[in-house]
Amino acid sequence: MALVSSILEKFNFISSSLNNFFRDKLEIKGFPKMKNDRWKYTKTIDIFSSNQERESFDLKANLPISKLGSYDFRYLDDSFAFLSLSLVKDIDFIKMKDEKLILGNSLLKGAYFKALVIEVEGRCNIIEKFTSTEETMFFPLTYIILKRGSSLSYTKLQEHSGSVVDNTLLTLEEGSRLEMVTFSRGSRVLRNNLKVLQKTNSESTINGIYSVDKGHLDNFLRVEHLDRSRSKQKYKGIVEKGRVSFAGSIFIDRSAPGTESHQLNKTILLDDEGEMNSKPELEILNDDVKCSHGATIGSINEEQLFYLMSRGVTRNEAKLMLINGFLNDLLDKNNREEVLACFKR
Amino acid sequence: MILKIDNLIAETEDKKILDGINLSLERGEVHAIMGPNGSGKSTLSKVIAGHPEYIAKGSMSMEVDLKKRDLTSYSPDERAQLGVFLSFQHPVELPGVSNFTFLKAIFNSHLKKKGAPEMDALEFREHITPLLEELEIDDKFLERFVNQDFSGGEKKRNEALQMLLLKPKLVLLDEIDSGLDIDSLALVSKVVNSLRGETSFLIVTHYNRILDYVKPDFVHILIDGKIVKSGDHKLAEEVEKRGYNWL
Ligand SMILES: Nc1ncnc2c1ncn2[C@@H]1O[C@H](COP(=O)(O)OP(=O)(O)O)[C@@H](O)[C@H]1O
Ligand SMILES: [Mg+2]
Repeated sequence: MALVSSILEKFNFISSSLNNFFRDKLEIKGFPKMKNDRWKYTKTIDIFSSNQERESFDLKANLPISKLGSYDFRYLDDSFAFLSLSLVKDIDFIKMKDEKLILGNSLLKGAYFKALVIEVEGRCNIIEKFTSTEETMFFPLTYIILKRGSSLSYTKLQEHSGSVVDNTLLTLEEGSRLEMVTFSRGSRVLRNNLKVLQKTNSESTINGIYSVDKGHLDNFLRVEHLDRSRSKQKYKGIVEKGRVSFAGSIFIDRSAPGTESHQLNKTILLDDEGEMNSKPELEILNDDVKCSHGATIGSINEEQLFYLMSRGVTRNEAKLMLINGFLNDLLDKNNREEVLACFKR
Repeated sequence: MILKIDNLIAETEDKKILDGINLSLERGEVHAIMGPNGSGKSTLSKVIAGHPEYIAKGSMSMEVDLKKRDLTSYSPDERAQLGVFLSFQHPVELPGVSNFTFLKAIFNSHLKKKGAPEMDALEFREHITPLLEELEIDDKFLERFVNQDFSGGEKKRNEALQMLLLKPKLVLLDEIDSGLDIDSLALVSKVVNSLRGETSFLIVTHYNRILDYVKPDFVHILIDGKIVKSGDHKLAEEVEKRGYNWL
């Protein structure tokens, strides 16, 4: 508890009634403890270790941002989401219908708290790109509501260097569809809490690509099927150096018979200095479901490398081709160039 | 002399596989290496191509542009750039990599090495089309992932396609005739014969199917990692009649 109040004080608590509400929640919950299994790889102490002043920034977006919206935060349960809501002056609100939203910032430097709610109707597309310097602390909370029958393609590009806990919550109302891909590089600390709640006949495809040659990346994903619905999650990545983890948690409620959920996590370790931990977690309160999960951790196949090299391709180029092949099913014409450019760097 | 091998020994950590091989190929010659399963034929071709799994001792040199090069000091990709080509007994699958991307990349790697401008997708498609026709390979073949779900015959034809594309100086054909139907065998043999004269071939096989189509200048019998007998094409016929036990 000591940590909670010192953090809130340090970052200049403003105390609206909204802030107070979440401050209470945070004080009751506290920050994740060492023994919390879901926070095994990301330590609270590491997140707050850089000594930064609080800054504020205006979100750059190509659609109007309003401060007035209606929110229902009952599905939130993460300490860092509570932290952001204890400290933000306003919640940003964007309503979109059949539109494309481009979201981002210039390079962040300092300590930032951010809360954004997006309401999606019709067919929409969001491309979000955040970058940060090494000294940055950044706690974004993004809550996206997919209204009945809507569909959203959501690309999240994360090229951070600082300490980041990214909370993203998506609720999929009846018959809505989500296609999401997150691309992450390693950062000083990068923790993703991605939570997806699915109502009747909603569908989600949640993909992740990671390319880590330094630092820390902790992908924590939870999909909750509240009614009959479908989800697919595929996370693939390359780890050269640094520490990466993936935890995929699927919850299927008693009220969701006929639900289908499939999860896969595949990692190529390029170097002995890289570390990968992968863990599925299934919580299924229903017999009538189709559910699968799998995880593999391997290295670049030497026979494949030799085959390419025996044709004249250099070892480095051969590796790149194999990585490209490995990620092929997660790349499309929208993200291929951008993602592959990152591997060349 | 395009290839000269002296007292080549190849071993893995716990096993000696090749035990003192001597071999010389003049430019344009076709040599066949025959031998029972497990005698070291694939190992010989892989070691020439530079497979990192084997510890090779002895000397291997190749003559390129009138200069003698010590092959052992070149990596597999550098050997390929010198003009070595290995057609694999078991071509490797590359999931997620389309055959078109692959063929274009291997071809461009050679252009790049020569300092020539690389080909874009359009130019390359034009370049590869007549080669596909020559091997009676369907266009759709290019969109599939390299060797994945290919039949045995398709894999071997894909190897032959790469050979045609790269125009190597020294070709090592490791059991190109196994898993190949009669029509494909005839096609592949035709390609080999068309390159004969410019290109030197080392044809590795454990039976002489392909030698009915491509008549070798020399035949060597490899048993237990040693060349126990060398001769002309008549030796292959003798092996066909009598097997390897008399050797
Ligand atoms: N990488 C390797 N590690 C261990 N043993 C090997 C390896 N490659 C080949 N061998 C062994 O060496 C012998 C020769 O193999 P190979 O060259 O494939 O024979 P062939 O092609 O004539 O059938 C076999 O006994 C095989 O098991
Ligand atoms: Mg063999």
